[in-house]
Amino acid sequence: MDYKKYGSILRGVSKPARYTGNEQGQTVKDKKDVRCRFAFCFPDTYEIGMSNLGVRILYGALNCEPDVWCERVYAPWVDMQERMREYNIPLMAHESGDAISEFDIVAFTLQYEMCYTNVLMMLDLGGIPELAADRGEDDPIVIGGGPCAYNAEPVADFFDIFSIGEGEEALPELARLYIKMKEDGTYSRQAFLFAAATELEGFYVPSLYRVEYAPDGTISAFEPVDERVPVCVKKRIVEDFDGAYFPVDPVVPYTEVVHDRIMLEVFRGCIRGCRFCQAGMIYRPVRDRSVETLCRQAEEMYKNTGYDEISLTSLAIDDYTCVDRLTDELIEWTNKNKVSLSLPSLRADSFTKELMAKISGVRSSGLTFAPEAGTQRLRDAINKNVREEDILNAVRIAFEAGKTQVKLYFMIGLPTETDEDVLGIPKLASAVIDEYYKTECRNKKRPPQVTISTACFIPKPFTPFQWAEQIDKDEFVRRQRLIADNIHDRRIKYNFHDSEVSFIEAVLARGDRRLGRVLSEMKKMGACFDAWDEHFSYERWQKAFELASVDPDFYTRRERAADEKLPWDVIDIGVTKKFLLREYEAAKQSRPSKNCREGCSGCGASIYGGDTLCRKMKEQ
Amino acid sequence: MTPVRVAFKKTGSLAYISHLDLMRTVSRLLVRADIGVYYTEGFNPHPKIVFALPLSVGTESEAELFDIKVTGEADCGKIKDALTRIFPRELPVTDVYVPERKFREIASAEYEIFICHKNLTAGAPETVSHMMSSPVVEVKRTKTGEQECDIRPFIVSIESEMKDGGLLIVTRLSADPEHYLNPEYVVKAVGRVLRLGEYDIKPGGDYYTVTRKCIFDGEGRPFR
Repeated sequence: MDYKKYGSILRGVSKPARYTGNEQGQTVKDKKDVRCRFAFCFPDTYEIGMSNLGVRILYGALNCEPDVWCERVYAPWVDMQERMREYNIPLMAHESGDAISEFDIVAFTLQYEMCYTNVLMMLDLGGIPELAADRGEDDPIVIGGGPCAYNAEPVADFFDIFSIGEGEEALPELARLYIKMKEDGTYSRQAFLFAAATELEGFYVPSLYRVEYAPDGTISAFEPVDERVPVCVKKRIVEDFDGAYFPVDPVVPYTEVVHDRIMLEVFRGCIRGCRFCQAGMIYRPVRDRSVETLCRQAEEMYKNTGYDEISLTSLAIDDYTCVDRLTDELIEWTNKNKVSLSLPSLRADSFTKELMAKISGVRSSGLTFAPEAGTQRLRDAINKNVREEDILNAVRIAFEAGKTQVKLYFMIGLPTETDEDVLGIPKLASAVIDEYYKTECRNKKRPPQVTISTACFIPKPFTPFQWAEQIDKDEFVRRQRLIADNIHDRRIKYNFHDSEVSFIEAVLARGDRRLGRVLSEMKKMGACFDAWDEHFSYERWQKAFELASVDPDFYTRRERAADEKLPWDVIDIGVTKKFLLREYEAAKQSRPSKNCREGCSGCGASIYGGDTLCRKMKEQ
Repeated sequence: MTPVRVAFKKTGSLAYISHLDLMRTVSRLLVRADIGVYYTEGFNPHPKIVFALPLSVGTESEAELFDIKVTGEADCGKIKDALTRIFPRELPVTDVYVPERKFREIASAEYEIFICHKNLTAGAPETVSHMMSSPVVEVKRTKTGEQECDIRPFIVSIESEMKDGGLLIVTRLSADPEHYLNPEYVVKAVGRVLRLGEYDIKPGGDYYTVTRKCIFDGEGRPFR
């Protein structure tokens, strides 16, 4: 945003630095060299959007194309939205300050369902017609991607294209197709969408599919309108992950953002296959980056940014085959340069003294583990292969290292959960407290503190639990109370997620195209920032469901039949439905499965080529 | 170990980053400049940086200062080159030297305030010069809460003229640690005596800018 033109406005809003841009590391190109302008929108605040590694990667990857200019766009906070509407200021891109309606392609990353209302708010502020069907030849092509695009049906009416899977190779291809068609004169909106769906891989164009519903509300038909359009859109992955593009010169924000540090992506995918976890399925197959590549990237990023913290990101960092060698090599220069190393996703069963010693080097805080469920029976059912003794062993290591604070994450409402499982949560917290006092060389200056947090289980597409029912809102509240009532220790703190938000998220997660009307009604009522407690209104959602004549319980409060047509069947992630069903059956019998490294379960992801764990397992 | 003082400007879009943001930003820039800056000892080591005066969000400055220590002998010319290479365009380094006085010896600071407002009249400079003849009462925020007080004792001097379609005010305000006056109070007081009313903040509408021009010591010399 131009600080000269909008100075008086910037002075009057909260945290103006999130709008002024000009950060170190941003890409500015000469418009006359640019043939495709990409506005990459993050439908939440600057502080959250700037923390997203995926956006960093795609921003850099697109800008590697000399004639493509990708800029960043974030959702203006409510005070700024008001000013923008009052003074007719359109939503603009950070780098150029140009209105997003002037761009060729406007992309939204869909990281969580609760951001959908922000997408509509941003389209409106940007002056882009809300419905894809209403857009004309001069309007930008609106595309969506990210984890929610795996079932994008609730927002299908608002998008022209969805990019399915990893975008660092796919998005530049889309930009190239756009440039080619513009230059050879074959471009029209419709022709481009058709070409994206039929000539490229990994692009889902919702308007090219017809959906019909049975009297019971389930989908009776979901088919392409043209035989050249694929029945199933196969997700894209980066086959050569070690050699893949990674931004070592990222944009460094001036104002504080949520994850303000060097993020190294150690590997993609997860070997575990927890049955509630969508990320564990959609990012398959597992691909590693080499220690050499990671160390080189870390040092380059340090030189380019001056950050004093490095975080090793991935779904479960201690599952990285070379975690010891990587941390050994990193620690040597992080200590020298007074950089701290953080490992945000530790598993209790592979946590060791050696790892503990490394992360307590420079700066350090408490430790967090995610047992997810309170009893072994339920942990087996969800395939979270962590035993109570692993957790107690892990916290003992932490206590021996002088830690006194431990956070434990759980989910409630998991399929097959009983009150015994729920009560296992406070019991486990008590056992952790006991372990503290059993630890000989503990930090005796401060009393121990265990914080337990429970999220409400939300069945997600492409997980073994995609057919499962979500428990009732009131039942969530009862189980939360059951936990609270069974904590008789001031050293144990209890936080829980709001069940109403989780209910709406569950509706959207497995929703179909009929939810588009609900979102339009939400937009009309001024909804935005629904991921923020202070802006979420359950009453507004209820009203929107009513106005759109949609029964939200249809999406959450029923077990789906194994043969029901699911809205996301149009997407192929490699992992097969047969495998997911097999896993669901195993869950019902509380039977865990092997992880990818112990033995292949034949999930289907091995159809992808490249340097994957699947290939290595086959070679063994 | 040698103490080193860095003088720099805070301009353009960087006027909108907070004091806390500036501290974090400078800390990272010093790491990148690789000038052997001294780190604090202890649990959370970070480059030891002390800033002279905080600046309100939205205010530009041509006279910002921070102190660091560098290991060994300091070559100020070399340090300046290294910082100039790394510091962003809107945060240019203007000077690097060995400090002569301590920050607590700062006495005053000079500001340029430019007001562009539809209700400004040609008589504005005269009204402003008369402003100092009677109490200028503003609600001042202090550490212990808000209180009404006459801000005149904190205004060392104030002059103004009509220029480029607006009112240009040059004012020197007390800036010692006990009696720091934020220039925003002067903007408010001037707006009141001139009966400007609300600012219409639409693009191209009313606005004001504040720029810190110089910092002075007790003898009225530029602070070094």
